[in-house]
Amino acid sequence: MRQIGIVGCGAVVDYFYAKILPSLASVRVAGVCDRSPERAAAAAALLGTDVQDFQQLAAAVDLLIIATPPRSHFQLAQEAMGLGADVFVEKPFVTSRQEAEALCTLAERAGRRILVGQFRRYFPHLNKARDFLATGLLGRVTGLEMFEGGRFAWEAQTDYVWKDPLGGVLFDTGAHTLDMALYACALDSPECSLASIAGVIRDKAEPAHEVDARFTLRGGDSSPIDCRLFLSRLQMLANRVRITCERGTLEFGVLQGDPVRVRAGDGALTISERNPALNNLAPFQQQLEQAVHGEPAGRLSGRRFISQIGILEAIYSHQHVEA
Amino acid sequence: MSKPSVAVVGAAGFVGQSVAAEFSTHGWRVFAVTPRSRSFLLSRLDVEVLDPADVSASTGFDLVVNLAYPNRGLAHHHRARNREIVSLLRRLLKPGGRLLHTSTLAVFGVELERPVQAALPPATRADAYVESKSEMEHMLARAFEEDGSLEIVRLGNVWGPGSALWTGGMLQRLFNGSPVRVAGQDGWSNVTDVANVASYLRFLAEQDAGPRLRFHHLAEHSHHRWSEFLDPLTELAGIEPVSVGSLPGRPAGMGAEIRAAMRSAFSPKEAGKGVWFAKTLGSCARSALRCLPPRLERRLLDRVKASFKRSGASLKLTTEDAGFLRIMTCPREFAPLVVPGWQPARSFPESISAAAGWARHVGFC
Repeated sequence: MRQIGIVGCGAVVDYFYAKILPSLASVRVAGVCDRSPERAAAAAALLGTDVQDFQQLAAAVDLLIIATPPRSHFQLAQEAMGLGADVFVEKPFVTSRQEAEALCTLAERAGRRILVGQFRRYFPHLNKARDFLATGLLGRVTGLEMFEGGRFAWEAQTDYVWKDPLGGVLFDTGAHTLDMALYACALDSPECSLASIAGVIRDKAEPAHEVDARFTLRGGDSSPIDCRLFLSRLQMLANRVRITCERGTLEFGVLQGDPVRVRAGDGALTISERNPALNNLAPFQQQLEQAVHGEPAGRLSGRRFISQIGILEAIYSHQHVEA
Repeated sequence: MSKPSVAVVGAAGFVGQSVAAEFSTHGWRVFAVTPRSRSFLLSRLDVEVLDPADVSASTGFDLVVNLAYPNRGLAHHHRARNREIVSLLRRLLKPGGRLLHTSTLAVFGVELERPVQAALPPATRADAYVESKSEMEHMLARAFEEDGSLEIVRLGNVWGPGSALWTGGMLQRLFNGSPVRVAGQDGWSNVTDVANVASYLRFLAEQDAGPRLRFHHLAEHSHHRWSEFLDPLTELAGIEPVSVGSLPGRPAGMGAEIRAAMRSAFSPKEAGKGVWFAKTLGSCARSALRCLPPRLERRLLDRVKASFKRSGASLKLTTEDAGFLRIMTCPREFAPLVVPGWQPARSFPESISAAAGWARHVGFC
């Protein structure tokens, strides 16, 4: 029986963990922890477990899930691994490339696993897009355009989305959108790096609720990839990723069940039809099962997210123009 | 000279932001009535945020614009939510004050199946949204019949940059491969551009108040067919639109709805769906749910939801598709009924151009 614990009992516990954990085989929730005694008690009741303090919990479990606001991820993950737990950090992994590399190195030295929760990697249509791009039929990737936006409706349990500088749309939503693009193009390795930033437009200083960044990446073969990352909590955007290649484009929606379309020359092809019957619980569960029982492909391994965090950090730090 | 003040309820929404911006840029002091947790949505606007929880009887505005309506939670709870909004509006408005309330053409039915009139809509069982909007008009008319003036501005289909339901919604449907038209049935669009909604409300606010209860119908592009909006978007997106040959008719009346549900009796799950989304039976179901104790209501709804998920949707068109297509094939025009002297801020060509520009900017093409 694998023992897991959760630190940070916000909305993700109500909407996801409480629905999934009871049905996971060979898993026991050993305890929960939160700065707010009320939230911790509510989560404990929901999950049929006890409230514990952080050190007690980390020392007792096989896997500790960290679902706190991102500012605390580095310190909690570091401490948890020191107490003997493998760690599963909800996105965004951390908030700087340096922190990401440090945690991965620590994990390797301590013989621990450090995993990142990015459940969209388990969307069937995203994996179809990735598989199609891997065939090489469209040629090398030359451009990435990523759009995700809609009027904010998530029931945040804390005020970090509008008060904490790290709570803006860039890390909150951008961690998802950028990761989908990098994963689809197999650019989610530390070798993918940010070459330059052409400009960043925000609605206001961080936490910004709308960010439009243009930048250039260098892939593993050092070829330049022109990128645009446009995120918003204020208005609807196209909610898709468009990957431009030498011989055509591939587009996919960012939501579960969205279609995947390919265009080349005068032709267009749908390689994955829209499936509105799918929901987010299935990929979340698949991710959690792999995190708990081990996932051989390393899809969630911390090292796969170093470049993502480096890009987000650079955009975050870049001087902006206000919209 | 101090600026005139207006309280805009629902300012954080799509239309609300345009309305708040319109008043603000034309010399008004705007109080955006919205929970503080959503006030960041107004960060780009020159408004003062007023949390509904802080509104008391002494807050008092001479002018209130209401855009709020129940758009979350379970449909049979919308009546209670409407009451909360009315209560808020009563606290916000000074005695003798003026309330501009935005409603919808849908109070006459989603397909305008009931006669359009400059009067309160007849009380009747209907789709949840239609019922909720109609009830709100009646509640406000009763609440303000003794004091102040109430102007009900019924909006057509609100289109424009940022419209998640129409402009963005159509583009999303094109990308998804969802049907966007019915062959041979190009309905009246009954569109109003969001910029014109804001412009009209401000124009109205700057006129003298009219009779105690007055109605306005705002759909300045109503005479354009839906194809005039869809074709430019289709060209922009470079995607061939999906059409259906015909749209299944909706059962008319409770008897027909029961017969339709009974035809699905071989699948109780489909029958349940048929009842829940039917106009009259669905309305009755919602009325029944409101009478149940909360715990029983919760248990029943969880069972119903679970059965919907297991059903595997044997309908050829989803409920959402059918609803969308009914509006796309609307056989009646919602003719404008506006005060003299107002000119739309955005003409039809400008509206199409603005929508196209937005679509390009936010990644639809």
